[in-house]
Amino acid sequence: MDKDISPNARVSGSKPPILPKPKVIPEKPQFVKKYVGSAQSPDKYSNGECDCREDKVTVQPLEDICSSDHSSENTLETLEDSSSTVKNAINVIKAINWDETTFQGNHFCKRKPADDIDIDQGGIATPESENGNLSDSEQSLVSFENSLVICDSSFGPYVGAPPDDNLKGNKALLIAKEFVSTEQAYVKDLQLLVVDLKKHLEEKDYTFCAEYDKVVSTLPQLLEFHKSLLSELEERVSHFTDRPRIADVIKKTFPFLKLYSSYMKDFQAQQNALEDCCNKNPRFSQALSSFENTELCRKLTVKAFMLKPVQRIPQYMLILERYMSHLKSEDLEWEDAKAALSIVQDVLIHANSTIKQSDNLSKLLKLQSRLGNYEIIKPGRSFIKEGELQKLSRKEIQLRYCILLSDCLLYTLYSPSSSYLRIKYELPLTGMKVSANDYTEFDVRTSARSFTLKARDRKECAEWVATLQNAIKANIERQLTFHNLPTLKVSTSNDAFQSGKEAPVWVQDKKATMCQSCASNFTVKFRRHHCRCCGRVVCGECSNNRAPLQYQKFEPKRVCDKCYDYLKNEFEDPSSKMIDRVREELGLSESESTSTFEALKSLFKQFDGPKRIHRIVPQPATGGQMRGHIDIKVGKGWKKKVWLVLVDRVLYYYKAEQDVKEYKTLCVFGYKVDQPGESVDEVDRRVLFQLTHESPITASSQKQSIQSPLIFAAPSEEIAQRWITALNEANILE
Amino acid sequence: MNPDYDFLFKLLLIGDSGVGKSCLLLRFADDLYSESYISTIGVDFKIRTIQLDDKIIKLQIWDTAGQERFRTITSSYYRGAHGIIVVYDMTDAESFASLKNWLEEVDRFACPNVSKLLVGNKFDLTSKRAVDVETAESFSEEQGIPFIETSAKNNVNVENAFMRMATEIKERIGPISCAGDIPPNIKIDSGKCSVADPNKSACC
Repeated sequence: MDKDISPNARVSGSKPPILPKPKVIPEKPQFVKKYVGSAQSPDKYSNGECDCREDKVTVQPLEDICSSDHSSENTLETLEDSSSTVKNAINVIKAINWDETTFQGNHFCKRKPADDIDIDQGGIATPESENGNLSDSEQSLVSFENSLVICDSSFGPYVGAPPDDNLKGNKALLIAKEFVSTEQAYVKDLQLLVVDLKKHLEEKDYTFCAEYDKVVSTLPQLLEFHKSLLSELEERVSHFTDRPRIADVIKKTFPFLKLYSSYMKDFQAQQNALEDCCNKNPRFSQALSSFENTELCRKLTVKAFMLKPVQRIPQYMLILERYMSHLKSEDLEWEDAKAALSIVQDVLIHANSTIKQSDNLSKLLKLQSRLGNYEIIKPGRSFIKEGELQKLSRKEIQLRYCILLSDCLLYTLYSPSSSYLRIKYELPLTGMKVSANDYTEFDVRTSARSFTLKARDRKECAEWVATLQNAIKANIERQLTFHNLPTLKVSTSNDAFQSGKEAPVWVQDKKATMCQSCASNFTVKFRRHHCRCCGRVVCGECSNNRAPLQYQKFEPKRVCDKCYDYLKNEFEDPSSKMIDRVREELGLSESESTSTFEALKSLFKQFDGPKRIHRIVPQPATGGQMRGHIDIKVGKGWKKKVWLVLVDRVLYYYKAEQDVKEYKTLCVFGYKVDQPGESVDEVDRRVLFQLTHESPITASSQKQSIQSPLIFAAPSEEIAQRWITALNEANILE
Repeated sequence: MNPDYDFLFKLLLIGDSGVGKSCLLLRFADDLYSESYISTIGVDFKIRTIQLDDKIIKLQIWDTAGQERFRTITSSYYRGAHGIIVVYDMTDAESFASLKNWLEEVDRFACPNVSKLLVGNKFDLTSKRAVDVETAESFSEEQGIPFIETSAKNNVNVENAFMRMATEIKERIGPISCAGDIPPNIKIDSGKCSVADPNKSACC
């Protein structure tokens, strides 16, 4: 092979040669040396490195090389059988070296004789040989980069148009031919499933046919459709040179591809049906495997053949896209190809969503069987996510099973004795708000119920939050297509908590050791209460009020002093349009609402019992560089889970994270921050950090005395490092 | 059948469009590389026979080109696959980002212990690299899936990738040809939540 001659090399100084007549298809197949690789890629074979493949140059008939069959495990025998495929494929490879623009009839082109041209640019390969003559892959590659042009007898070398257009036409023909040849092979495969296999089974036992019919389902119709498509295409391609039109045929027939949706949808069921037949009837299984052993099957299983229809449709898409790229966009053919392509895409989208829907339905049905009487299946509803989550209740943590559907979140309990789930709440996604409030915890807020859910880990929590938020967004978008409710928009854009309008998340009891309003410590006798408006933990004295709450249909409920004042003001102040909210919420008429509104006002009650000394309400430390639960070494033991907040240069110690008043503060300025050299009380040193203060040199001792360090234990190494960084930064004087 | 091989492994190539699945397949099966991928249309799968520790292994590798957007359709392929190769383009961060989705798909549709491999293709375009090795490695570690970078164009590591997959599958199913399932009838009673009356909502 002569590598020096590049196909683009100028042949200068020579007269334009007269173009020879189109080459006639040689009767004998030409032989080409196996040559692998392209100019850019390393030539593995010439390098002499070779794996377990046969290290020999194989010689194969050119027709085979150029043939573009579609299944990959083909034998030479079958290739010869399908000689029509072969003949329809490219017959002669010829390289034309375009030098100057040529004109039709004048033969003003320069070209090299075919035998001078090297075909290495394209990289032509023979199928890999297996067992000497079994060709594993019939896909052969002919690349036409750099002006290599393929001609055949029906086509003739293009001399008329300038090279670019020439190439376009050539490539389009080539793709059209690929379309036909792959279609031929595809029809053969369908035939194998529908006709050959059936015949084979019939010979073994007549009863097998009925069973097999269940498996093939729509395949016979598909076969008929493809047969007619193929014959039309073959006809068109044979006249392609005169009339390069195939897309209209495709456009006309492709709407029938919708048949594939049901095939793809039932694909799993069909595979199962086939397996069932085999399992139930060993003789059927024998008959099937004896068929698979015949030459027809090319060592493929019937199941593999059944997958071919699923693959064929996306192939159409690729072929058409490719075909279009070689047409001029103003052509009618291009328009038709585009229309055909969009049909294919529609079919694929349709099939895809059909499969999705049937998947979804089976998922819902599965859930239905666990949910008993609750009707989970509703039009337009789809399943999104399910999983176990822990609910942080007021006192304890409870295991819940959550099911997210496209319109609501089902919050269920395990039934104690069986695998059934008991629905506790069905929370509509409309108006739901979800926000992560910790690494593993997130709040779900709806107008009716709000609570905190805890995932097993950070990743799971993030997934739930993201999925929920997407579902809420999608739900709103769906609804907006029906109504144009401005209120809907408002409720989503405003993510802030709206006092009285929605249920608050109750602060867990253990998160507050003191009233969040007056900072009095709770005791056995001095009890915790929850404000129904803001969810905070307050004492009875601070929450001895009743106020109507919108999310509770304006039932009067216990609220803290702060919320009482706020709600009362809302009812008094005309600008807050409370009367309209009452009317909307309760669905009242204009006249009714005024009286109801007045009645609601009378529901405000403040019980002025004996109050403890009102202290100045302290403000909990907000912001700050760092906060978290830390164990602190105290004497010989540890004080567990202290809520530590670092604000500026001060460490605030809280008994619980929702406490409003710290029990201790420490100015960290002047302390040295580091990690103990060894573990303390068997706590790994890597999670520890300590603060050490060097006291000034006193006259009495004349030596530096060091206070015993304050030792802290973080929940993890990473958090310990973050505390150390934050504390060190707090120590830097600006 | 009269098998001329000891094992037949069905492999599947998935990943975003244009990451080079078909090129990898062509390179491995036929030792070809094509800038234009016309020839990959119509390839449903390719077969290559390899030898591993005296065993002849036939790899049947299915391509899913053109089906990237239609993931549920692709799910038809997952069944019976022994190994799934998830390919991304290292010059395209988006294709790397969608690995997660692909893996989810694998978890949903493939059999649970299917062998997986992450392949970062287009190693030849180092100058345009958008996904660095560290990112990919940490992702691979996080997912517990081996990872390899390849170039179908320059034939770097392609052989390795497939061999690695084959070795892994062989180790997994080689010794026990008949996979022993988890014995049935073992019920694990998950811890039940407290039975406090959930309807009681008052706290005070």
